[in-house]
Amino acid sequence: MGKTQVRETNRNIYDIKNKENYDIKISGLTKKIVEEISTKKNEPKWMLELRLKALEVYNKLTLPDWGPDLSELDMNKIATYVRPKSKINSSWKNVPEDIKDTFDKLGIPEAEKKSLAGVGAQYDSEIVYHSIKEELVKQGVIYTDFDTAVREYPDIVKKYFMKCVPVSDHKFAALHYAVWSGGSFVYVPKGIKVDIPLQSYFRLNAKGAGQFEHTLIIVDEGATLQFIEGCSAPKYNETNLHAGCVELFVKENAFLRYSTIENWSKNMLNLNTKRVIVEKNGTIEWVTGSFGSKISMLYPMSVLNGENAKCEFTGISFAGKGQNLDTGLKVVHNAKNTSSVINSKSISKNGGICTFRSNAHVKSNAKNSKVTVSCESLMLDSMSSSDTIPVCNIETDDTEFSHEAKIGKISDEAIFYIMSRGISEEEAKAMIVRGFAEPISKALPLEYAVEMNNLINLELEGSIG
Amino acid sequence: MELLKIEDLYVNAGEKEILKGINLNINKGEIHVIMGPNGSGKTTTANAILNNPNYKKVRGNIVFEGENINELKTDKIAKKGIFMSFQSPEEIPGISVTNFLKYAKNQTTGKPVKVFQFKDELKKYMDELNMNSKYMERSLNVGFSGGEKKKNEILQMLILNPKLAILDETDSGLDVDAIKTVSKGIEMFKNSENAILIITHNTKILHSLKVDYVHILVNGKIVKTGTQELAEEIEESGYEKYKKANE
Amino acid sequence: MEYILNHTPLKTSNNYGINNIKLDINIPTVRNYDNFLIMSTEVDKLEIINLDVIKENKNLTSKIGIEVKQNYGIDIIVPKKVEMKEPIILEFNLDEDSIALVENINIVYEENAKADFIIKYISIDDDEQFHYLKQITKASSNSKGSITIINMLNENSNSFIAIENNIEDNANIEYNLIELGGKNKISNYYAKLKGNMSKNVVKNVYVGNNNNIIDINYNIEIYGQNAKCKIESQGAIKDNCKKNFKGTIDFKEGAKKSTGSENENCILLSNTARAKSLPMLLCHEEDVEGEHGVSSGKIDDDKLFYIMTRGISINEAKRLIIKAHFSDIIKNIKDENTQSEIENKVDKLLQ
Repeated sequence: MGKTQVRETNRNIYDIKNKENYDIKISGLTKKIVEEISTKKNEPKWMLELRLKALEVYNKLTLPDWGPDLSELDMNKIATYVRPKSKINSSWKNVPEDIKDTFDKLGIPEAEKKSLAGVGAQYDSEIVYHSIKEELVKQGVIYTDFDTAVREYPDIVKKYFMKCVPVSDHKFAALHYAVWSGGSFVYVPKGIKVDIPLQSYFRLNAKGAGQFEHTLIIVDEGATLQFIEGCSAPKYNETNLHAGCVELFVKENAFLRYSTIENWSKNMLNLNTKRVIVEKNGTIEWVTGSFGSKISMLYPMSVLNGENAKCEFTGISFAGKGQNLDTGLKVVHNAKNTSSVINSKSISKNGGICTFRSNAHVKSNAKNSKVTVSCESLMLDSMSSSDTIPVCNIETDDTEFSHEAKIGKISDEAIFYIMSRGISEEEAKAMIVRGFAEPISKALPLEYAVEMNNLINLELEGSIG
Repeated sequence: MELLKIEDLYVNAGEKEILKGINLNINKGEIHVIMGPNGSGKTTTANAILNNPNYKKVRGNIVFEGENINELKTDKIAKKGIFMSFQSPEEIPGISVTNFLKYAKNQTTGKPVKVFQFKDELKKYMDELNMNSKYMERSLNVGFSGGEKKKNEILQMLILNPKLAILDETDSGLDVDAIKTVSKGIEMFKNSENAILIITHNTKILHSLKVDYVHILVNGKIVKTGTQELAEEIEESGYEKYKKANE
Repeated sequence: MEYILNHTPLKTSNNYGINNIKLDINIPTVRNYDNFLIMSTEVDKLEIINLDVIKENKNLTSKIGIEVKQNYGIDIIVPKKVEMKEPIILEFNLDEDSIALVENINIVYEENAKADFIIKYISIDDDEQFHYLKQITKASSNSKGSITIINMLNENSNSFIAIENNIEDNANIEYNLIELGGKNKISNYYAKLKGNMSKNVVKNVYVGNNNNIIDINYNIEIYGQNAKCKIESQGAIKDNCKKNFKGTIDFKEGAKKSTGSENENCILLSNTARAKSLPMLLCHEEDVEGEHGVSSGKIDDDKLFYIMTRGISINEAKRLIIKAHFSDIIKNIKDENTQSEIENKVDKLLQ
């Protein structure tokens, strides 16, 4: 079926290492370094002040005493700011050859032509390419890199920045606010429907570096948006760090689908923070596929603040050798008639650790609310582990809350059934795993579903058969 | 010409001894029926032929077209041309009927499947089996009723077109109309080059099919072999006589 | 004094407020205690040893994480192949002369032994009382039995119940934990299913009202092959009661073909009651089947409507439904008098 070929080229794509060729590379985390980053970025003073305040908070907070062990992280060794030798371009032609080549191989310019309404591409700490379809600009849609947004739309940025994820949320949120760089800003005006997705792709090339992009999206009343985020990096022996932050605002009657395909290299600590505030009749849909990183701690949070607000979460994580993926979600029901439907799946193999961790909080004012949580874990061998740690916190007598979880292996009978039709054992297992992941691939645009299935094949290789 | 030959077969399921010396020969162009009460080893026979790892062969041989297939993996056996219709087919979420069959067809024939031709063929058979074509895109067996699952098994048999089809309790739990449809499927499949082994505990399906041999399986052994009349005898007086004889 | 107690086997974010329970309580001076009864029709078959804990000046510690001077202790051994026909009933009373009971009860099932135990704690008056039990069971191979522990203390008391359990090959032990009394009800259950084919079912019923704090922390670790365990918890809370349910099933590597399931259902009868749950499934073995379900919140409207169409008031209908949830567990207790005592107490609490 020509699959072997696909697998091989794919692995190579993610592992391309470009020569380090930088304008600026700053390592460590001190007040001076934070000031230097701000100066190099030519920022307004209010932003520097926020950064310095965040640094203070960072120094006060301790590492979490739960979840994966993060003791290998040494902030003195992490490059907090790496500026590639490139300005932001709106044409791929002007992007430096080696960087453009990487994104070409990742298929970004190709996808842009076929199925996207706008693209942002970040390389290490800075965005190197940004574009948006002309007709969206005419409708008043803003899609730009976050640094530009700080300079050009200070009023909107000031109104929303840090309002969703507070600086003191946890240590790595504070770290993010101290050294953030790059990321995307999207504003969809009232009533505008952006039917074709926008995509930001984050590529970390520099060895031992951190990526701290900030994404801020505001979908105004009655508007709709689909946003896709992709991330990858080549593998190094040193620890890389990703501590991005995503702040989303879904206004009355608005809709946002936020999809992520994460394929960080297996030396990455992925300590990302994502949160949305949803107002009356608004809907947030999260679709996430987590395949990469050495350690992930990622729990997208949905705050349902308005009546009838809805949250749908569909996620899968796949932990292989040496990976500890501690993922899940948080949801807060803070108004009448709110509902959330959560579907989480995980696959662990070859010593990988998958943990589903969640907190569903139904506040006393969330009358007539409904929460449905379902998680399923598949274990492919006994070297691996799979933990489910879901917290439910109910404060009202007027809610329907249900939570279900299942853990187990691929059924022998299902394998036998498929094999009895002439299909090999390896392929039978891969079929079942792909079927298991299908609710997530179904929710992705076709190209990404294909990418995800390739990632699953890639991950299964070596463990099965 | 001889297709399948089972010689002195002993099979355990877990610790339990189920088959205790089975002998069976099936030639091209024949329809065989194995009948027997619950727990006599009917399903074990089918699973043993397809080498389900949960069933251990203790002794004996299974020979298909002159080749011993005792130790062959299930998929290899299927590729040789043996098909098994399951009593309760597994539900496999996320894989559509079409994609599954397309892939299985590709694997069993070793040739690429022409998509349009394949879809037409699938559509034709589904019409014949009174199956709603919506099922083509649904996940394999997920949410199918008992009858739909059985029809789906017959559909797979028609598409994969094996040399030997083993139908394990295909008629159980079906109403009269569904049995007619399933029989129609079996008749469409049958020709002088292939063979069918029907495993059943009742005789309903035998009313609409002409069979060549009937074997009575009791307590892991074939205690009697006859023709269609033997099935009629069982229908009237049950297995009691044979159970007692075997005690 | 403030205590931080009953830690879960694995921590999650401290922000979720479920890793442990903070409790501000006074532990009274522990004096001698002898206000109890042991009832058995075949007491001669058992080996009973009263432990002289006072003389030895022992302190009681447990996985709850609180250490208190002990004033009672007993070992009960069900010898090899002994089968007790009637349940053994232990009844402990607390009153103004004995306001504190700090005790350990060790139960040993020797090989092939069979016995059922019912252990009750009853307040005779309304004074603030303190009860702290550590109950250890060793179930040798092929033994079978049930242990029912019933807390019927008064509204003002503190109840701490810690259970530890070792279950060997082919042994089958069932626990019924009935928590109906006490202002603070803290319980910890820890079982090790070491044996192949070992079986352990834990069933729990609780009712909380006023400002009760209920903290339930169960943890079953499975090491053996083909082992089976089940946790079932049914509760109802009202007023300002706060309940935490933490149930963990932990499949260790090698626990092949084992199964575990966990089911929790909590009904809230007021808008000020608070219910937190953490049903954990930890899995280090591929060849297992584990599942859990939690449902919390209100009683199904259709059920209520159905009952009310038969002329029953809404409150009575709610009580009926809750009691129906409890009844499967209560019916399991091997003594009819005890069953009706529990039912009466549940009725009173749900008024």
